[in-house]
Amino acid sequence: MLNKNLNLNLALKNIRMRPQRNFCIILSLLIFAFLLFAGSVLLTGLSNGSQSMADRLGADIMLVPSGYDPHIDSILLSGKPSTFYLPEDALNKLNEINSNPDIDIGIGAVSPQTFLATLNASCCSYPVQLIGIDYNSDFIVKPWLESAIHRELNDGEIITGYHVSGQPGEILKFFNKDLLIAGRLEQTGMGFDSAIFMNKNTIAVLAKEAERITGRKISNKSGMTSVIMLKLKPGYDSVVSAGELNRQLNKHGIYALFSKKFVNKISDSLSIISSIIKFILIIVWLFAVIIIALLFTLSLSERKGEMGILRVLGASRNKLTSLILTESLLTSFYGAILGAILAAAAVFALRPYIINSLKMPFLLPDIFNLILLFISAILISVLTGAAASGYAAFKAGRDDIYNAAKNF
Amino acid sequence: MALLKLNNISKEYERGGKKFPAVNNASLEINQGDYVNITGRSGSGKSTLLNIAAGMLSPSSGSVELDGELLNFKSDKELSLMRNNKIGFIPQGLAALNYLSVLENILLPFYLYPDKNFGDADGYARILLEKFNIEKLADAYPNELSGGELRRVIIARALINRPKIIIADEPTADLDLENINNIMQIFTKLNEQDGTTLLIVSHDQEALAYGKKLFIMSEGVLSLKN
Repeated sequence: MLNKNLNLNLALKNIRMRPQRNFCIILSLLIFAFLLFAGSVLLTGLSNGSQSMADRLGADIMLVPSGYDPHIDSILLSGKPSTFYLPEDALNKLNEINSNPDIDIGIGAVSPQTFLATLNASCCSYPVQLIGIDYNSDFIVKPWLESAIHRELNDGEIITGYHVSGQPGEILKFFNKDLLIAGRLEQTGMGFDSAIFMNKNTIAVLAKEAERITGRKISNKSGMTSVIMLKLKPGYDSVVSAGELNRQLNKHGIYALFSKKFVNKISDSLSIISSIIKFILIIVWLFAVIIIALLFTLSLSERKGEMGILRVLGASRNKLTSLILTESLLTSFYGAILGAILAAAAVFALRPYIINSLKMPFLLPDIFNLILLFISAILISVLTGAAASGYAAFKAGRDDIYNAAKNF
Repeated sequence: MALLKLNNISKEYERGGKKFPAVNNASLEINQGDYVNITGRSGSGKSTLLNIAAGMLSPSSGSVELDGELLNFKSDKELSLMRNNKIGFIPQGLAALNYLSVLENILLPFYLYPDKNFGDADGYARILLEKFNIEKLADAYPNELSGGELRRVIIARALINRPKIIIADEPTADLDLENINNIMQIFTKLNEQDGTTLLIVSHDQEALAYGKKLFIMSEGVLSLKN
């Protein structure tokens, strides 16, 4: 029944009476809203992931065994388990370079880390990357490990990454050793989300047991160091210092890579993906605008008689324009909300596959920002629909009543 | 004071680069309670004159006064409001919105500018439905109605805002004789029993048997027949 919200009443009834035409408009905006929301979430997630990585990669330079730089990529980006070690005298070589007055590379802090990949076997709860840190020298992981449990990690204790299953207080078994989960890390969007952290004593015990189980020697006498993290003193360029380190250390099977490389690589990929998404959005937006403008123009041309009746009954030009715009806003709203809901469902359902295929750090925006993106996508889509139909609505309001009335 | 006054109305159109007068210096005064018919051949300018009288078309020259107000120079908003609450216009054809029920079609002019002081519009619409013997069709849709039924719905719609004058353009066109007489009897009753002022344009000879004054329009010139 009609009531004082005449614009809304007429729009609702009109939409119901013309399902085919409105289906096309709704579909156009559904696709646009879908891509807008999904694209925005994807871009924000990648941007957050990239920022998180830049924030958490506190090291300026990383020393890894020659030829293993792709492995460090995998560990940092996707958490793919990997085991590799630097030559046993790597730390000594570094100290020699650092103490040589003729070589000024500005090393400020040095901290070794140990990587150990667990097995998909009965000895281990599941395959995962174990990372052992040296509490005395660590300047990267320790601050956020401590923020998770507010104390140092004891021997036999672990902290799990965000995506690793297991709750604090539970026991996980790796290489037949029971390890107590002391805490969980917040999401980082990096490979660290799929890793488990422990101190160097714990990882040394596990490595020995791993050697026994696998029958392969994986450590050396001086301990196991997979990567050495270096922080430079202020004013030193990591690219220049990494170059000098490579000149000194490559012959010993050690390769220096600067952390900015990761961030730069990710920024480059992000900028390409961002351009692709923006391009697709512009094309879809243009199509949506053209389709809606055409459909509304055609529809209003068919409905001249109806417009004439309304004018005869006393609808002013502005009232007629507002009636048509209400109908357009409502149709657009249906398409926009459906598109945004479908996009939200798709993003959540397909997120693991997207992250895996992009091979980039991805950190989903928090709930507040997700809601903001959701509302923005709906708002932009609705305004697109209204703007596209605006000219036709304005023109219909300006048609001569006498001419419109002839179309009864 | 005349309820509707047309003073020396002329309306020119251009066809093939030449101007021709659709309405030529027409004058007409309609008082409260009048029932005026205008007849004439197709293209004689009757509908043009009616549209000018209802404020839907501007004359090339001359002036229109409705209820003491000059329509010339009024804004679209003012004219629309006046058309809504002072004129009950019955256009040619079966001019109803197909996506609204009969009751909703009748109430449409009221809800364009709802008036708090009007009273129960819904109740009044049902009274009109009963008055025209179509109360059972309240929830039906226009495309489910016969031509005669729909014409009665359109008359009821024209009356919903209790207008000062009903202006009808060919209200009996395309109807059979029985329906023509039904519709014209409704107009007669409205005029005689309720005092409704009527201005009707028709070329149906049967329809012209009703009414108090008859004007003839020929080549844009309006003249009184009786």
